[in-house]
Amino acid sequence: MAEIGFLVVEIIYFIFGILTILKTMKNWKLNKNRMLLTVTVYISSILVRSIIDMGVYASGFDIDITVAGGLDIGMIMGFILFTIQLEFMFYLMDLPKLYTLPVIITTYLMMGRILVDSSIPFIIYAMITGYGSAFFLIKDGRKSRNGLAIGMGLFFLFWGLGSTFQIEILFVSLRLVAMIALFLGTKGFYEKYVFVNVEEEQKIMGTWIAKLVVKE
Amino acid sequence: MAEDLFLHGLENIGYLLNVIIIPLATVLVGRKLLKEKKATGKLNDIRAIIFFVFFSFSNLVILEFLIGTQFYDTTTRAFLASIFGGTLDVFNVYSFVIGIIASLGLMMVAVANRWDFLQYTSMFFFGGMILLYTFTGFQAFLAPYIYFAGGASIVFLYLTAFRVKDNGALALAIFFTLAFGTVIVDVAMITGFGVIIYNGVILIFSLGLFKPFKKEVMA
Repeated sequence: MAEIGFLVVEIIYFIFGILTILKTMKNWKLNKNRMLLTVTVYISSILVRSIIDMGVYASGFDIDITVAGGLDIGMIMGFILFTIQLEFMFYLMDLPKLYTLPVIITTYLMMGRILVDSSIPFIIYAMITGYGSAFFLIKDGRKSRNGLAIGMGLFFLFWGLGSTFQIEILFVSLRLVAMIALFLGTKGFYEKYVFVNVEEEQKIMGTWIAKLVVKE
Repeated sequence: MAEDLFLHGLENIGYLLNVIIIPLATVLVGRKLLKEKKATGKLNDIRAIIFFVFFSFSNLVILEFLIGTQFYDTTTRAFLASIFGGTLDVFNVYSFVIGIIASLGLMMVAVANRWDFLQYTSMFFFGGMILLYTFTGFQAFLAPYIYFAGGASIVFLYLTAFRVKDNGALALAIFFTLAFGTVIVDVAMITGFGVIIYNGVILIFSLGLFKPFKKEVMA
């Protein structure tokens, strides 16, 4: 029964993912911003994982294939996603000297996973990547009033939280929250409703004070 | 008998030269680095890498010399020798320092060629290897990595030196050829002469007399 619940959440998550891709592709066609293209590639790779998960929930049994030691296909997918995420971060932060670091970290973590059956290094990596990216993107998004950056930041934050706990119900639910936050970012929700237009606010305040003065 | 005595003498001269000339070269290169930093306000990446190569090598030869001397009793010497090691297939002080030097060689190639994205790759790779060894005990890649990094450093340093006409890269290429040559070719006579020659090269370079390229493309 729980599997059906997870399947429903996963389908909603997948639909939001598709909507996000469509929106970013539409925006990319308009302004040719490479960041939008990167976001599209990233979300597409996430949705590949989602298709596997839907298959797992629909069939009712775990189809994860063990490659060697404690390393399975699901974990490899996770490593690839975190590598893309970290690469994306270094690209945004303009740190070309660190471009090879995520690939090297992933290689060693996968080797470590084969040699020692422990998921702690994976969780630590997920936490550092998720929270680090979230912190940077939310901070930068607030500064530059960029809703997409805020959306990406929230996406990494919720995704990171889900990966940290490693409890399926939390992981699946937080993934959905993450995707909705990103979808809202691409739709311009944060620019419209979260960022307050300082000039506009001052104008309103000015009028209000002026009215008070006239009344007195 | 006479040959043994000659080889033993050659080995001792090598030890002494190493322990005197390499730290001296490190100090000279370090002084130049600081002087340039004071004058320009910027750290010259290539000079900094050369300094760290010499600095690492200094530590290695000083430790090798201290362990090789008769200051300690047999048990202490055996203990120190076990930590220091002397082979490249297991992690020990010797293989660790040689690994750092080989990685710095690759780093210098990336810096000289302005391959920004590869600048720290060798260091990341070696650092990862150390961490993997710390947590899992896995060290099978150590020797192949050192041989590969050493070999690639030599080839690329020569290519870089002639391409960008860089005296530092050429000096390091010659030094690496002789130093790695003495590590790989384990023939007492060749090792003995190799050590003396690379000490000569290092001394000439650190004194600023090694200038085969009169007009350097880059500093």
